Amino acid sequence: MKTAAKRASRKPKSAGATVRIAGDMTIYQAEEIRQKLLAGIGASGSMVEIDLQDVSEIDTAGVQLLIAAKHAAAAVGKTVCLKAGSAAVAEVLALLGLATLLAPPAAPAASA
Amino acid sequence: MNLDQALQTFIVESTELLDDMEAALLGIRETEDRASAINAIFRAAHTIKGSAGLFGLDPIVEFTHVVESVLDRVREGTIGIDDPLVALLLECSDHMGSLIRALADGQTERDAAAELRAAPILARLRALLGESPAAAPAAVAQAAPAAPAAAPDGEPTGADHWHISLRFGREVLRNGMDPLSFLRYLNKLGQITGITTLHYALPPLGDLDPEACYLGFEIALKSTADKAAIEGAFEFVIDDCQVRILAPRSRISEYIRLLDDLGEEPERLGEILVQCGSLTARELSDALARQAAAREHQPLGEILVEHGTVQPAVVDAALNRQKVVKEFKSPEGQSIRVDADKLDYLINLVGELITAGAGANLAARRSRNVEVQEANSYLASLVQEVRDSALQLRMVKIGATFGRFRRVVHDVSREIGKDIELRVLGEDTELDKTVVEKIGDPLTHLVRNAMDHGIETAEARVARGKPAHGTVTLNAYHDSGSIVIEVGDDGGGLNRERILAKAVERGLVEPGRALTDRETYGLIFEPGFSTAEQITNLSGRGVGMDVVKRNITALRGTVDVTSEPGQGTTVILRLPLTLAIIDGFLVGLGKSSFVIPLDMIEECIEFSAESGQEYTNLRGQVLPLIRLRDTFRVPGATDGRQSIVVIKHAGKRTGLVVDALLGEFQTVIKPLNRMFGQVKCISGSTILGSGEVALILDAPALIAQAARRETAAIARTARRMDLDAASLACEPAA
Repeated sequence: MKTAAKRASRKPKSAGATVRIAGDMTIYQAEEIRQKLLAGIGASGSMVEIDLQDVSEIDTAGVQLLIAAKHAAAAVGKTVCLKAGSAAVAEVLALLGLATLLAPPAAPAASA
Repeated sequence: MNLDQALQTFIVESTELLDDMEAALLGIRETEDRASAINAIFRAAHTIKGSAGLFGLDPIVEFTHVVESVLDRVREGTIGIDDPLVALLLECSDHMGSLIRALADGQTERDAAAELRAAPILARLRALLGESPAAAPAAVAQAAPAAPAAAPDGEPTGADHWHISLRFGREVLRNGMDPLSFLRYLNKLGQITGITTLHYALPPLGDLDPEACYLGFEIALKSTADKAAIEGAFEFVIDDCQVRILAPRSRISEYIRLLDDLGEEPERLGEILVQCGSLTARELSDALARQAAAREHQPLGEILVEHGTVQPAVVDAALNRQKVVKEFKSPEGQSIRVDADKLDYLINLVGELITAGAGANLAARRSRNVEVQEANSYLASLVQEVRDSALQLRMVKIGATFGRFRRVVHDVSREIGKDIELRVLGEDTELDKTVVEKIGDPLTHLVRNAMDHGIETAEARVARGKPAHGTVTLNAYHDSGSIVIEVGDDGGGLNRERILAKAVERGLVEPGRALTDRETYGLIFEPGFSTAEQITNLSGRGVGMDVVKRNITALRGTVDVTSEPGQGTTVILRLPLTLAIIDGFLVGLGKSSFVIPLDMIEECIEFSAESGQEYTNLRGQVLPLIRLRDTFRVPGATDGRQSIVVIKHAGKRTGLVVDALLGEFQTVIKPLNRMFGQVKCISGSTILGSGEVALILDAPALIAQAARRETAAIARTARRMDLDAASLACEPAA
């Protein structure tokens, strides 16, 4: 398991937090990642950036977390920006027809 | 498991499945819930094919596969189920049965004769399929518009792809399955042309269980695979996932049903369907409007069915598959198979236990030790419960037996060219398995007889102002400790005159003797009696009705007939609920004891009768009396007061005059030795706690004997009066 490879950091940048997820994003890490996302959304700033560049594998549990994070941010008036880099994430989001929902930077959520 | 054993299991299960299939086929015309009947039929074929495949039984697999393909079309609604198809499918089920029987006889090789028999059936099945089964989806797409669509909502939609609705259960991820892998697999079966991920069920991030699955998907899939293959993709998650599959070019009404069925926000879901490309916007608004209109008036399903647009079969089959699979599984978990021998042994042991218990009870009473008596009475009540539940084990519903007659009626009505339907009532009535096994043949005979002789030809019926199709009714209910089974027809009724004439001709009745209707009709059960003018190969040879009577009598039962000219005939069988152990009531006659079945007893009253009369006054009604002392020629005189036990049988009350009432007694019936076979009015024996033997009274026989005696007395009186009249007539001349 590549849990050890995962490391998240939050640094104040463009008035928001960045949650960086690396390694696997599956049911095995789901709870850990959920806590990180909650912390990221709870942090000050109007934007949350989720950095997925180094995600090596993502499953349904991971996808759910991303959607839930987006909802959670919107609920407190924040926008979520996904930095979707890794091929694994892109493939899964395309398969689920979610590419449009998550890929572009927070533009749709802004209007809400 | 030993392969041989497994094969035996396969044979047993397949035979049962075929029975289910037959029952469902025969019931399909009347059933309210066609979809589940069709599902049952499909499931039977599907399971047999699957299991046969495991054993490499190619002939069965090959044949069943074609049947299954046809059934699949039926399920989808592209082939309508009508009478000829039912008949064809019955032939299929027969053929499958014969293949499996051949297997049971140890024949595993291909049988040329069987294949020859199968060929015409297969040809007809293939004709229904239209072409080679490989091109299934294309055929579906073409066949759908061809199916009669009365109303506009029957129009197929434009989409030429499958629509799949997936709702995953919470536990899917924890069970080690990832919905993504199923989607990837679908992409291998064909091409996902549209997909929408549904995440409305997702809780807020704070409350989210990260290991639970909250997602659902609406998918449009372009594929040449057939439905079974697509369904097969979800086989491993069937318990954890709701799968709904709509075929290409499904009718709008089916999409409505999908929206309705999912029970989510229809507008949003509808848009999702549009997004997926499964529906056009116009089709959606049409569907929603129709759904809203339907809601105002009555449940949607009914409207659609009324419009004749949806065969409920179509949608339900696809939608409820998962539910059906679950239902199918549950009974397996709830019941176990037990050898009948083991049960019989248990019942015998319980019988011994009761006898021993009665002995212990007697000893306890004699000991005058209160503690022993108390312990014993508790023990006795437990024994009684054990007895009841042991007997309950053998109780089966009569429905299965009745179900067999659907086939008999179906076949015979075709054979004799009369349109006859079977009406079945009281299927849930329970009776002892040993009784069930023995009434099959008599019932078959009665049903055939009713169809052949009871019900008139269609022309005759119409001429009498009755509906052209006849009805045979099977009814079962409980009545004072017996089960009553009625076989009725709405035919012409028995011809009293002809029966009498025949009886006189055969020397069964003296000419000129007055008989009641009941006695007259009872004559048809005499050996060698048949009034049918024409002998058919079904019945009418005069063998049968007497055999029926003998079989029923052997079960301690009785047979009765009622008939109404022009209205029909009903044969009434009365059978004891069980053959092993009964609740009895012990009575004393002199030094002997007798048992009367408790269920037949209405009450016990003090003996009082007009001296020398054979009746008494029971609250203003005449109660005929039977003096058991006289009947059984008990020696000695009565000491003290006698009592009357009022029993009821077949709606008639009779009083039995006894010396003493000894109380309730659990009676283990021991059949009488064949040496006593000729003894009348005794149906068996039992052993008392003291070790003495008590005889069990055969109340129906007693009553019948009393009734005969009475008619004889009346006849004597009548003759005497005739004589008196004759002598009077002579006097003036003298």
